[in-house]
Amino acid sequence: MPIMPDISTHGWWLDWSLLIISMVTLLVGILSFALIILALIYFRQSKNPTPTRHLSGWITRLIILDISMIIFDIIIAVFSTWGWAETILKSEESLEAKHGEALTVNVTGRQFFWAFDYAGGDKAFGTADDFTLGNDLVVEKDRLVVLNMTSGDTIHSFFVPHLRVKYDVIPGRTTRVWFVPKKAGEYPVLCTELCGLGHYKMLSNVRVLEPDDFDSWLDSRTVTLSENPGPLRSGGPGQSQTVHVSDSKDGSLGARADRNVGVTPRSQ
Amino acid sequence: MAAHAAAVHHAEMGWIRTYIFSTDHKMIAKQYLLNGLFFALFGGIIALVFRSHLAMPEQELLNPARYNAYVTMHGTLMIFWVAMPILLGFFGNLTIPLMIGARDMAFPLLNMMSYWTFFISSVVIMASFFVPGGPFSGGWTAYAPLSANTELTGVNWGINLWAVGLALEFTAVLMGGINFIVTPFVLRARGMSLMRLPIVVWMVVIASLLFMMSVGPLIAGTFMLLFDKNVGTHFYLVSADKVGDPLLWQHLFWFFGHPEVYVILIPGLGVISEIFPAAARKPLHGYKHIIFWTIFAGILSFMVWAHHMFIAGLNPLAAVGFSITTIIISVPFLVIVVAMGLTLWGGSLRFNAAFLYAFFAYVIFIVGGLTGLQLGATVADIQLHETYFVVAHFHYVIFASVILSTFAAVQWWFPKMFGRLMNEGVAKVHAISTFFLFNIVFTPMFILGFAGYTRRYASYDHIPLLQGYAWLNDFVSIAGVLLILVQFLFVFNFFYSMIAGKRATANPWEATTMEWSAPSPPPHLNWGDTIPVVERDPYEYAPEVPSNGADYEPQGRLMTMR
Amino acid sequence: MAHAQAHSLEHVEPTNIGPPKLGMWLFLSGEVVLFGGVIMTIVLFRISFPGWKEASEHTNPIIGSVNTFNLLTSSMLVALAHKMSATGNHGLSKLCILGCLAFGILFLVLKWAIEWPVEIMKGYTIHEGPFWQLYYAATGLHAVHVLIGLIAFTVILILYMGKWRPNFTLEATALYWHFVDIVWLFLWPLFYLS
Repeated sequence: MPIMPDISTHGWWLDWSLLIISMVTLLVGILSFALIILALIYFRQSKNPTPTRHLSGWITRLIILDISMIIFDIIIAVFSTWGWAETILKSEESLEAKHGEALTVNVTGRQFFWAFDYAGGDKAFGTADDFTLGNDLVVEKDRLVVLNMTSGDTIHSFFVPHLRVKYDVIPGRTTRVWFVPKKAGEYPVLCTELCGLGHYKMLSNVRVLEPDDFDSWLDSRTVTLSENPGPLRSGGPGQSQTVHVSDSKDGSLGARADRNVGVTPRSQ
Repeated sequence: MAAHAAAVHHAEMGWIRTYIFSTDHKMIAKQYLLNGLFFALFGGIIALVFRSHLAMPEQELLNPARYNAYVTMHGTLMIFWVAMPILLGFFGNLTIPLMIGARDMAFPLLNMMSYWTFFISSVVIMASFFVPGGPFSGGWTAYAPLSANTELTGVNWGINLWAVGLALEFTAVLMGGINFIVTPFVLRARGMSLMRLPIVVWMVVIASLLFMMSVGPLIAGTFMLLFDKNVGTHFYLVSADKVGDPLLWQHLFWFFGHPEVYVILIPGLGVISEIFPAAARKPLHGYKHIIFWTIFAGILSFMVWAHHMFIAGLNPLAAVGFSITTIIISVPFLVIVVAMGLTLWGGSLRFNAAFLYAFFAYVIFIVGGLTGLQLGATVADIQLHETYFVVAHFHYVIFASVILSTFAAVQWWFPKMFGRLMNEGVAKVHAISTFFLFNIVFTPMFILGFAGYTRRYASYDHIPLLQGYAWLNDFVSIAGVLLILVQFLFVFNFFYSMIAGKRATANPWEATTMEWSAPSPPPHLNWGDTIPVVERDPYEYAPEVPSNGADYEPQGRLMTMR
Repeated sequence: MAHAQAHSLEHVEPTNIGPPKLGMWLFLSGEVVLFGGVIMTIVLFRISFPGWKEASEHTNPIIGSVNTFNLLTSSMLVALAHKMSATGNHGLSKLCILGCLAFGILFLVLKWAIEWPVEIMKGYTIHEGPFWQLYYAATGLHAVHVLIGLIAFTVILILYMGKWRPNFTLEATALYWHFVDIVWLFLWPLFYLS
């Protein structure tokens, strides 16, 4: 399948459920088309001038097809629900029991950028060392990440193809996704819910760091951000939409966020 | 004699009452058809423009705002201004009175008002292209905060006109729907019991019922949307101190939206099952099964709406329930599809153009149904929701049921509209090229969906992640442009045959149902001085005891009045 | 004309319900779903927003209850009018329609001329949260239905004064009127008694 390589721990469930469901569907499809083509060849007028009014044999028993369809349905339902139970339905407690303490990041989607609020070194939100990154989510390899997501204006959707994560981001509500990245690197984030004219440019990055790198990164943040004016999240909707961005590997992220924000409606 | 009476009648009523404000169901059917085909062409050209833009975004054919607006209007027009008028307005008006042996609809005046309300709604939606800010650009599903707040899209009047046009269109279909339901129940010819009704009549009745039972909440929702946008209420909008619920719109929309999918699917299936027996020269397999399972699917369609919202903030446990009802709904459609297939099995197939259209619709619908099953699995939505996979899936469903079965129906009932036959050769070329180009356009989209191609992006060139499949997306754009250009064959064939097609006899297809007993085209009030009387089931092909040498028995005959 | 006669002669009517009545019932079923959507929205907001109960204490239950009485009475009168008209007692029938009109107009006056202005003056406008916006939207939609019914009754009464005799028209409008009445019986507890 032309699907992105998987770098999460739960993606396995999703990929296999999807593969099995797709294969079963494909099989049914091929079978039906084989029968249909057979019908076209064998029952064309020149080959079969007198139609058979009453069909006989097992093929006419709709009940057999009902039962086989129900079996087919059960296969799909079982694998679908199984995969769902292993991903979306997991509670935070059971995840922390399995993967250890989570890194919690608050995500805010806005036209047309993502803001990521970190709790900083003390692991508590609403304190002085909180900081916000624009369009750059930095996480630690092999550590559970829980994202609490909300939106500042309209509905967005947070999609990381490599991490097998997609969930809508809704104003006035908080939605939650989780993942455990297995591989360091940079992975793109797409917005998958139409959110206005800059929708297609609402791109972002997930940067997965090795544990050592992540710790030193976090330390550097905590030290340099003493003059942080406060997390973005404290500003209610409709207030200032400035993102405080100072950290990035090439120093251009702030400019990138600004460019995305700068997409303004062109008059017709 | 009959033709003479009709001519007198027309002369009595004058040109305007005959062709413009007509109460004759056949004329209203033609009006609906032409209006729908106009929008089909228009919506197709919109698609042509935005697909051209996607193929070469650096040319700036459209700016992002216009791109979103065109994508939105393509969806809106194709569902509400093409599918609804053709599948209900055209199929229902043309077939119901002729097939049940009535002289007109139960409420001819209401019927006329229905069309003209629809016409006003068409004017309203077209006007949205010319107001400042352009047409609505929040997606045809109009998810709430984006559609309820001008600041988010920069579109103001476009949204108002979209909502008002939609409300008018719903009113028009409701008026028509009352006719489509009442007429088959009260104006059937003698001998036409309910279980002898041709399948397409049943399908239009069920579709109209589904529409009536589901549209109310969305009408209320549309007004709430207008309130939020223009009065400043907070039904859907969220601000610092006032809390609405953005998901409310999605619930209201999809509670209507899923039955709506069947409203525009079922009549299409009806046309296919109307043409299959005549092409195979044997009775429709499992007539009663098809009807009862369609009713079951209709009832079930009210319990599946949230499968559009699996990852939209719906309770994940509720998602499991909706996933299971969605998967169950495949059972009725399997039975229907298999019954159609068994109609062909053992038959003596005549490959005329109408059959080709219907057959291609059938094949494409099977793909659409199976991929729908994939999307019904909750887990698949994490990767596939809002990607091109979804786009491909619903085009496979809707192109089959709306576009191809419309072609089939026009080809099939053209004699009953204009008294002429459409050109078979051109129609066959059109059918085959449309079928192949359609598959070339939309099969790659399944792959693009898996690859992470998100829908409604004005450009993909700036995303390094997706560059591996950029060539495929360009290929889709080019094939898509060809697919739309090929449709002009149909436009040509339609108007050419209308003027210069071969004159049709009363029953050119040797079909059984009642409309083929009437002359082509039927006069005003259909039956002249005769009364139709129904004597047997609708699809009596290959009778055991053939009468007068034919391989079919007409469903009924015309008795002369005293 | 011959055709028109043929039209009435040839078809079978398998049910006792004539076409217009069946059409009316279908129309009403569409209306049921419309108001069903509105009422479901009310229930949803009521469950999810804690300020609902507090806000609902500021409506005027006296006007609400008097209006319930108005609609029920006019509904009864219109049923009587239909009965009278069917038995040929046209004078009394017209009187009943007039009474129905009076109670209906009283309903609208209480609603639009007294209740709403008072509430708006108190500051409970449509912008004051989920309760008030739904209150105005739902009772407003219902009041528009009342207005449409009143216009229909006025037209019937004017025609009735002349030679015209209502048979099905009155019955259909009465069906509609009862429906409007029933909708109010749902809205009344939701907004005034909670």
